[in-house]
Amino acid sequence: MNKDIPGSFDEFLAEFTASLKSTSGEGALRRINAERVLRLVLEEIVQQRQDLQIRVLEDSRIAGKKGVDILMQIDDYEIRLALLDTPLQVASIEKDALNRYRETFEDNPSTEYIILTWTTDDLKSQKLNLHIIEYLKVHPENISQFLSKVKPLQEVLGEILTSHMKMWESMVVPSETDTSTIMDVKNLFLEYIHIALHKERDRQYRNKERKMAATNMPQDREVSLLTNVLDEALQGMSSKNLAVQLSQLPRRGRK
Amino acid sequence: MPYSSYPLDAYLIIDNNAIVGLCEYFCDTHKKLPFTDMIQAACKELSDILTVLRRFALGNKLFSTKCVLDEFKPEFGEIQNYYGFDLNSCKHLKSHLHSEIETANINMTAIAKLRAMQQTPGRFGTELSRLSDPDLSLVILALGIAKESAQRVYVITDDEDLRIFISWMKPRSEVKSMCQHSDKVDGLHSMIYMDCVHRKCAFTTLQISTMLTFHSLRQMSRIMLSGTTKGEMITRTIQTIYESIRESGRIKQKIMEGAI
Repeated sequence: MNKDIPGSFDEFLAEFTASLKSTSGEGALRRINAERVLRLVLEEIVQQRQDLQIRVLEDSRIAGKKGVDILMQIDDYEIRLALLDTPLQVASIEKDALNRYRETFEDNPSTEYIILTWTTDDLKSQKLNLHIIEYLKVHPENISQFLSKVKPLQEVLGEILTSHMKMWESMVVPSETDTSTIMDVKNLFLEYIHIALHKERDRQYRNKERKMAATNMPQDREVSLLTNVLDEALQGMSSKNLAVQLSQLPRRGRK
Repeated sequence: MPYSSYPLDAYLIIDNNAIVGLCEYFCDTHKKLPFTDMIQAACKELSDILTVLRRFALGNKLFSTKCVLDEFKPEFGEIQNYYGFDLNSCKHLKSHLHSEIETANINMTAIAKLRAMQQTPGRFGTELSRLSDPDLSLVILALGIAKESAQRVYVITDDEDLRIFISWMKPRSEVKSMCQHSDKVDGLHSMIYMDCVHRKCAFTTLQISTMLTFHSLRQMSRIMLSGTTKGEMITRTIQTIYESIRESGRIKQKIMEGAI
């Protein structure tokens, strides 16, 4: 951010809101400090992962009162982030909080995870999804075990982003194309181009001139040029050079 | 039930931008007066408000550093466009302000220790280049007071980067080695701090809402001029600020009724 550009109101409003809504003065201070560091962490992640085009928004502006604190829109999914106060630097969760988070998931189907982040110095965090919520509701005795596995926010976010990385299966192109494959592709191409030309010639036109133009359509030079380009493509010529050759094809309506 | 405010039992260190904001507000309030009278009136109002802040501050003093107070140059601010502008009145305003604040000399070499911190977030630039020496002098002063007193210290500043830096550096080991009570240092926006003081009945709700509105509109116009914010967002932000002021007034009312 350029220092000449005035700062946004987000930080000012966060400070104001914390002083109005926190249940204790110390809690309000912990919250604004944690929110500032949280924004720094998110800024760094957005910078590092520009490929994902992550958008960070204030959730209450999107989801209203049912939202949590921060919404991260990433590709085709979302992560929500709830900041929880902890006076003793230990992660804990209220009894009815799981129900609230379940509602957040139900209202926002594209939300993959809610990250619970506590106001500790290193922003200890734990990720939550619907399966975990259901499990913890059935086995509340395991909540403390769940909370004992907290990690710094960067790590938790990193794990989620990595698990959602799209892996595309690429076809392995043989480095040396054998002659029979070349012939097959070339024959197929010629077969299809002759069918296409035949269809074009047989098209029905109300206008006689158009019909005549289609029948007398020049093709030999073009077909020969396209076949040559295909030959060279199959032998591995670069697409840049092929594009130059293809640009020699006459434009429609010109000889 | 919300708590009444941020804790107010703290030493106060004041940044130049907070002082400038107050001066601009008081000069604007009295801008219809002749220039010299306007400065006199602004000095009086400034003294009144700083007296209130001192009343809440630990040690009943307001602190700053010499290099920060040297940055206070009203002659280059808004008032240079006022009718009847004269330099002598500006000098008077400047000396009046200096008399209200305790100037602390700090060891400027300590700033280099902060700049040498490792793994600083990109937002602050290489070697904290986005924070000036005067900015960091306030941090050093705050750490010094916290070290000596083991009490809470607020740096009252309208600089967002400085407030964020203070929150980030508090738990860092490099800072802990300079001051083991670094967790006692916090950065607060001047208007937010004064709103908390307002809730303790030091100002009327009308006073604080007028000041907050003035500050917000001025900041908003700067943001609009820089072209970084869309109209809809601005409207929503102003709405949120007004709602917050009303909520703050309600909290004050409850405090007066003894409900909090």
